[in-house]
Amino acid sequence: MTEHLLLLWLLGFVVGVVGGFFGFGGSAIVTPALNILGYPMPIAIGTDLLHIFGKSLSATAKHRQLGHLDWRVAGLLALGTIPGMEGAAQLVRHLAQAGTVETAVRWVQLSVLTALAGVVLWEMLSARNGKQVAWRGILGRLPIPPRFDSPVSHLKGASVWGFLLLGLLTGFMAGIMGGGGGFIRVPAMIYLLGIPTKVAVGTDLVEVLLSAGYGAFTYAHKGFVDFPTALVMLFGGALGARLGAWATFYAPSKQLRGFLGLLLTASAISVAFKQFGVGGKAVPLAILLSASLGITGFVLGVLWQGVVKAKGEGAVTASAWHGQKGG
Amino acid sequence: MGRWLSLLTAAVSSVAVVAFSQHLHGEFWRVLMALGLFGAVGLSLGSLADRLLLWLTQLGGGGR
Repeated sequence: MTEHLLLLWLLGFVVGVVGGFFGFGGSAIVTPALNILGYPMPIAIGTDLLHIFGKSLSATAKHRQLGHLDWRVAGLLALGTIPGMEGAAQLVRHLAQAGTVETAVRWVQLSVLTALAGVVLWEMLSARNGKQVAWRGILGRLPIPPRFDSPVSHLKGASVWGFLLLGLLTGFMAGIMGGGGGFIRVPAMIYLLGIPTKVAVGTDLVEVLLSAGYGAFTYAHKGFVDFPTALVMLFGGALGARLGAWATFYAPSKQLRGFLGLLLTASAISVAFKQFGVGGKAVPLAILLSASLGITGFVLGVLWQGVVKAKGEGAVTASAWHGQKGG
Repeated sequence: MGRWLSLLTAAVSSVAVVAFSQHLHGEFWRVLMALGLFGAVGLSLGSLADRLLLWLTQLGGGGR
């Protein structure tokens, strides 16, 4: 590990910034990277889960300060996510027995990521032309009681079933695709439940925290976690996650969705490379890492400009730090 | 959390995590303890990150 100290710190930092900004765990990047660095796959997964747990705790605390966290929505989604993931695990088991799991999972990843990237980018272009997406929030508006209100997410009379259904669907997809599922859940919360972008990001981190916490525990219990490695990544990750979460306060929601669209596109290209066997393991990972590095630069720029401007106006400690502004 | 308290928590918890993480296989309470300490490191580092950014912006001439 010692020869990779700086690389591990940097990996943690970059994935932390991106994860704190978008509400993701980042397992799509870290697990393969650790594997390429020589960690056996079970140790790479367990170590990644532990580092995600620590840094999402840091990012979640920041989003709570900023008022980007909706506990009701988080609870409802978690209730749906658990059976969804279990169902996916059963399906993956059957596919593994049939010997088709690798190809099937990659095709699902490729289709879902391409579709999500397409939706996010299309919505951005529509918004630029002054058009609204008519089906935005469609699941939250299901005409089935019981209903609930949530001031944090600006929801009134939203159907509980829509949220449970989304939790089930995203849990199922995450269970098939691997990782915490933030890639799917954040856009789904924005478009299908109509939740404000920043609240979707903060609330998703609660789901990431729960799944990574449970995963880290069970992997550590089986002896599949390298704690010192996870700690080095956490030193970069907790710092990055906090900065990424803080940047959401200053970034306009449209800009946040634009970056999300770019990252989803890079992920889809990376999976396509894997699926068609182009560039081995390294090229798909390099695509994801380059996109993450680029986005990290933009996010830190947004944060720096925002804090400097707010300090100039004497507003930073009162508002951003304690989260007294909406978004 | 105060700056020094955050720094102390991060340092002590990091050392404790490494100490606790030796031979964790099958040890329920030690795994739980290591995870708790790991979480404490994450939170205290986050708190330090806030202070670091504010300090940097002051250095960068962002103050009034």
